[in-house]
Amino acid sequence: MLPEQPPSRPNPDELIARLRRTRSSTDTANPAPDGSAALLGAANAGDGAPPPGHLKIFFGMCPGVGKTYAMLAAAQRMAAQGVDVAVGIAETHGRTETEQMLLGLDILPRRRVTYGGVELREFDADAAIRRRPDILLVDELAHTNAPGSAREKRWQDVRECLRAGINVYTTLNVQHLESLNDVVAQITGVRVGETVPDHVFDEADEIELVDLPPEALHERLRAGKVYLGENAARAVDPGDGFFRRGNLTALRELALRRTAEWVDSDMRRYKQDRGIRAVWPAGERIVVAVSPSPMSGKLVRAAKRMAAGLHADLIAVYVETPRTTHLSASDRARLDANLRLAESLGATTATLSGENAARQLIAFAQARNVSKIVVGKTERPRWKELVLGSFIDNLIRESGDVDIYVVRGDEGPTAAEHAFDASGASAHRRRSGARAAWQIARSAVVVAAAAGLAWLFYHPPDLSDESLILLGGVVVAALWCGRAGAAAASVLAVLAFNFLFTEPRFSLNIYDSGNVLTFGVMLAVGLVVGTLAGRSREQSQRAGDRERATAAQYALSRELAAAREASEVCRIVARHAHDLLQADVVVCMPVAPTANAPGAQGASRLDTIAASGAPDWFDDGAGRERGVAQWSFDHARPAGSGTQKLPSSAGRYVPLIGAGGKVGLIGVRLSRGDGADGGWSDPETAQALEAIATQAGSALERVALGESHQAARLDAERERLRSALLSSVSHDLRTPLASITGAASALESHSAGTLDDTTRAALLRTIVDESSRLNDIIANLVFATRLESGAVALRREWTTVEEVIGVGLARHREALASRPFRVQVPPDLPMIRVDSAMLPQVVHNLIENALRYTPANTPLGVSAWASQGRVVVKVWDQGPGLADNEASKVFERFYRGRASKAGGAAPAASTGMGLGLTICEGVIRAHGGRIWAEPHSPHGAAFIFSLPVEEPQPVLPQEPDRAEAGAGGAK
Amino acid sequence: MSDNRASPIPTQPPAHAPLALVIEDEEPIRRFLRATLEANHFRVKEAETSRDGVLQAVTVYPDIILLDLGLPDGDGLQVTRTIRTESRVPIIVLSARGQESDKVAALDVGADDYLTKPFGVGELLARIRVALRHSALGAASGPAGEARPYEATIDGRTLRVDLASRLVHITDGSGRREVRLTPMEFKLLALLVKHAGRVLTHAMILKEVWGPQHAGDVQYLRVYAGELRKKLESEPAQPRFLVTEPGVGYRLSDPAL
Repeated sequence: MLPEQPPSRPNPDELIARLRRTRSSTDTANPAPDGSAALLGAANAGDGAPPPGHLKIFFGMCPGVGKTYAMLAAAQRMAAQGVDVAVGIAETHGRTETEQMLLGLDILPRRRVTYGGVELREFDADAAIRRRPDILLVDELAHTNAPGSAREKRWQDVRECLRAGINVYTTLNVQHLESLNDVVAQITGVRVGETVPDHVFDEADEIELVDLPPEALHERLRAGKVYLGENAARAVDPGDGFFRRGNLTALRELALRRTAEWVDSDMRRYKQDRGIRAVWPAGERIVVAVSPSPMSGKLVRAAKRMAAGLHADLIAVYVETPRTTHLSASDRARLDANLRLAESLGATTATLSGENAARQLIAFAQARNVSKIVVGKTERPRWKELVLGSFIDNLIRESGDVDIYVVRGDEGPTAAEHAFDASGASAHRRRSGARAAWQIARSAVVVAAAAGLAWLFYHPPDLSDESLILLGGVVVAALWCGRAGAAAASVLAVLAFNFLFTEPRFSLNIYDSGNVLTFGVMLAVGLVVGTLAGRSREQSQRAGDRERATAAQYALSRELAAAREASEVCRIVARHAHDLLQADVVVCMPVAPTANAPGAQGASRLDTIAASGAPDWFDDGAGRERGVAQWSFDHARPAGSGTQKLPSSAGRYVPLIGAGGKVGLIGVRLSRGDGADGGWSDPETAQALEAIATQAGSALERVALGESHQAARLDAERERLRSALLSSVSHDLRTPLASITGAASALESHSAGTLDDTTRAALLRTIVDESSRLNDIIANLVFATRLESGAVALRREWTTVEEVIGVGLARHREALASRPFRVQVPPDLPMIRVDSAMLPQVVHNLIENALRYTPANTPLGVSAWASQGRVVVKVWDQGPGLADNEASKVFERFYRGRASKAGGAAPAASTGMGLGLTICEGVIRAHGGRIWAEPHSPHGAAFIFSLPVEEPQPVLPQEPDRAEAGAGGAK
Repeated sequence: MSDNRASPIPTQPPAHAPLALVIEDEEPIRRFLRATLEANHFRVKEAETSRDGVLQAVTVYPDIILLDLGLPDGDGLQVTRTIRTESRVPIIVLSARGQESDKVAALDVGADDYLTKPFGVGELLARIRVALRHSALGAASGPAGEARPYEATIDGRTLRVDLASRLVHITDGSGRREVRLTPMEFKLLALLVKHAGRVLTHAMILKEVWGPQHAGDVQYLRVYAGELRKKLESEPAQPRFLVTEPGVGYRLSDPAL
C-alpha cells in the first residue's frame, strides 16, 4: 500500500503564489526610481537603489568652534587616502585657515536661485547625486533653502543624497536641534529660526563633537578668526553678546549632553541589532495636549524631551470641543503649526472631538495605553476657572491611572511666533476693518431711517415712543449689520436721540439729568440687544455655512452611493471636488503593473481616471506633478502644495484610503492658488478635501467589493449553466444510445434469420444514423465547451469566402439535394483571414438549423457580399420565420425553436442540443465579427454574419505568363 | 456469433491476399477493422502497442498499415517516422482527436492519408484502395504512373486530365469541351492528379507547385483552387472534384469512386 501524501504538506503551487504575493507587495512598497527621479529620489529608495549612505555630523556648541575646519580636515585625510571627496557646500566665512583646507578638493558648482531680485547660491543636491562622490561635504545642515527650491531645508537635501547612497559629512550647532531650540533660546535670549528635526541627528551614523573651551573660543574671537571686521568687534563683547561666557558654558553642556545621549542611543541600537533584550519597559507612550496657544510649541518640545528621556512614543493630541470648533484663521494656523512641529519632532498626531476635552483626552489615553499626559499651565484668570471649571482640574479628576504633567507656559509668544502673528493678523485686521466700516455705514443708514420715523411721531415732552423707535432701529441694525454695526447703531441712536429730540434740540448738550439715565439705558440696551442679535445672526450664518457644506457632502455621498463603477466614482468625486473647492481636480487609480514595463518592478502606476477644471496642469509633460502624486500614493501620505512634502508642486495630493488599503488618489490645484502655500492656508479647505478623500476612498472600496461580488454572481450563473448542460447532455446522449442499444439487441436476439430483410435494414439504418447523431452531439458539446473556456486558439489563415461556404455545405449535400437551394457568391470578394477549420462550422450549423426548422422542400440559400470593409454571409430560408422575440434568444445556449417542423430532412431533426447557434455566435465573436437573425423577405428567417476584412489583402502570386496554357502548347 | 451465418465471403483469405497491419489499442475498433478487412479479402495482423506495431511493420512486410494516432504508449507521429525510415508501406492514420494539426503533422512526416473516427466502411475501403494503388504505381516506376489519364465522373459530369498531352476536358450535359488553364493552374492540377484520391496538405502542395520558400503562402493555394474550380466545377461553391479537407489540405476525387 502506498503511503498517502500527508495532508499537512503544502501545495507547491500555492506556495509559489504566496511567494509572488509577498514579493509584489514589497515591490509596491519600494517603487523604483522613474523619470522624475531627481524630484523623487527621496521617495524612491527601492530595491534597485543603492544602500543608503552614511551621515557624519560635526557637532558643535556654537559658531566658531571649528566644525567646518574639522570637517574639511577629515575630508582632506580621506582624499589623501584616495577617496573621492566632493564639496557640495562649505561656508568658510572668509576665514583663511578654513579656505586653505579647501585646496585640492573638488568643489561642486552651486545652484543659482533668484529670489526677490537677489541671486542666491544654494547647494545643488541633484547635481551632487549625479556626481556621485564617495563622500560629499555639506556645511550647515540647518540651513533653509531659498524659496522655490525643491526642498525646503538643507537637511532634506542631505537626506536625498544619503538615499542615493552618498556618504555625507555635515556640520550642526546645538541650538539648531529642534528639541533644544527652546532651551537655547532661554539661555541665550536668541532664538534661531532654522531647526533640524531630532531624528536626523539621532539617525546619524557618526557624531563628531567639535569642542572648544569657552576661553579658547574667546581667544579665537578676539583674534578675528571667527568673525571678520565689525562683526568681530561686536561678537567679542563679553558683556551681553551671544558669546558671553555663561552662554558658552551652557551651550557646551547641552552639546556634550546631547552627544552623550546620542552615544547612548547608538549603544542601544547596537544592543537591539544584536538582539540584546531591552532593559527599559517597552511601549511607553506620552500624550501631549496641543492647543492653538503659542505656548503649545514649547509644551511639545518639553514633552519630546521627556519622551526621549523615557524612550517613549509621543502622541500630540488636539481636542476639538463645541467651544473651539470655530477658531479664527490665525488660531487655526497656529494649531496647525504646533501639530506640524510635533510631527517634525517625531510625534504622531491625532485630533479628537467631543463635549468634554478632559474626558476625551483620558479616554484616548486609556485606549492607546498611554501612561503620561503633558498639558500646559492654564493662563486663565482665577474667577473664570471658578465659573467655567478648570480643564486641568477635570483632567486630573478623570485621569485614573494616567499621570498628568503640568508644564509651565512661556511668558508669551516667542519672537518668531510674534512675527508670524503680525503678518497673519494684520491681513486679518485689514479685512475685518473693511468689513466693520461697511457694517457701520449700513447701521448709520438704519439709525437715520429710525430717527426719521421717530421724527414723525415727535410728541414732546414724552419721548418714550421716540426712544423705543430708535431702539427698534438698533435691533434692526444688529440683525442686519453684525456686531460692529450693532454697537455703532447703539451709539448713533443715543446721539440722534440727544440731538434731535431732547431739549435743547439740535444740540448735544444735556439739560435734563433724567435724560442721562435714558441715554445710559438706551446705550446699554442697544449694546446688549445688538450683541445678542448679532451673535444669533452670526450663529445662524455659520449654521447655514455648515449646512451648505453638509448638504454638499450629502449630495456627494448620495451620488457616490448610486455609483456602480470605479470610473463613475472618480468622475463624481472630480466634479464635486471641483465645485466644493473651486479647484482643478484629478482622480487617479492604480493600474496593475504590466509585466513588460521596464523598471516598473511591480509598482502600481497611477492612471488618471477623471479630471475636472483646467486640463493639462497634472500632466505637464515634465512628469513632476505625476511624480508627486505617485509619491503620495506610494507612501499613503498627503503631499504637494501646502504640505510638508514637496510643497512647491502645483497641486496637493491626498491618497484615497479604504478599509483595505489605498485605492486611489485625488489631486487638487486650487484656483485661487496664489502665494507660497498654494491657497491652502485656510484649514477649512484642507478639511473639506480630507472629507472628500475619505468618502471617495470608501466609495471606491465599496465598488471594488461590489465588482468582486458581481464576479461571484457570474460564477454562480456559470455553475448553474454547467449543471443545466450536464442534465441536458445526459438526456441528449441517452436518447440515441437507447435507439442504438435497442436496434442492436433486436438484431442479436433475432439473428437466426427470423427478421425479414426490410426490418433488418431498418434496424441497421437506425444504428448508423443514431451513431452519427451521437457523434454530432459530442462534437458540438466539445466545441462549445472549448469555445466557452477560451481554450480555442484561432489558427487564422487567408482563405476565400467561397471555400468557407463550400466546406460548410459539404456534409449537407444529400439533405440539400432534395430542396430548392441557391448559392450566390460573387467572384471578386476580398479574402478573409480566419480559422479555416472553424468558420465553415458556422455555415454548417446555420444550414443545419434551417433544415431542422423548416418543412421539407422549403427553399434555402446562402449568399455573400462585401460591404463597408466587411464580408457578409447570409443563410436564408423561406420557412415560417422567427417569432417576434426569438431573434435575440436563438443564440442563447440550449435555446430550441418552438417546435421542430416535422419532416425536417436532417438526420438530427427531432431534437438537438440547442448548441448549434451558440457555437456560431462564439466562433464569429472570436473572429471579431457579428452574427444576428432577422426576418427574410417575403417570409422566412435569415441568419447573417459579418466579418471584418483585414487590410492589406495578401499579395497574390504573380504569374508572368498569364496566357492560357491550352492544348499542351505552353511548355 | 456469425459462425452459423451463411456468408459468401470466405473466412480465411488466401495467402496471396494483401496483408493489412492494424496498430490500434482499442479492442472493439480492432474487431471492426478485422471483420471489415477480412470480408474484403485482406489478411490482417494486429498490434496493440506502438512498439509491437513498429516491430511488425518491419518484420511481417504488410501491404498497408492502419495506425491509430492516440496510442497510449507512444506518439503516433514517432511511429510513423520510425516506420518511414525502413519502409515505404502506405500508412493510413486513424485519428479520434478531430484536431487538424495532428493530421497535418502525421501527413507531413510521411503518412499517406487519414481517417477521422468515427468513419464508415465505405470511407475506409476507399482510402485503402487509393493508398494501395499509389504504392503499386510507385513500385512499378515513377514516370510510368503518369501514363494513364485521369478520368472521373461525378453526377453526370466528367473531368478528364491527360498529363502526357496536357489536355483537360469537361464533359457534361452540354457536351465535351476543352478547358484552358494557365501554367500554374495546370501545375497544381497535375500534382493533384498524380495523387488523385489522396489528401495533400497545404504545405506539400505549396512546396511542389510554388517552391519551398512559399510553403506558408496558403493564400496562393486558395486563389488557384478557386480559379480551378471556376473552370472545372459546375457549382464552384459546392465542389465535387477538387474537395477541401478543412484545416488540412485538398483532395482530388478518386476516379474509381
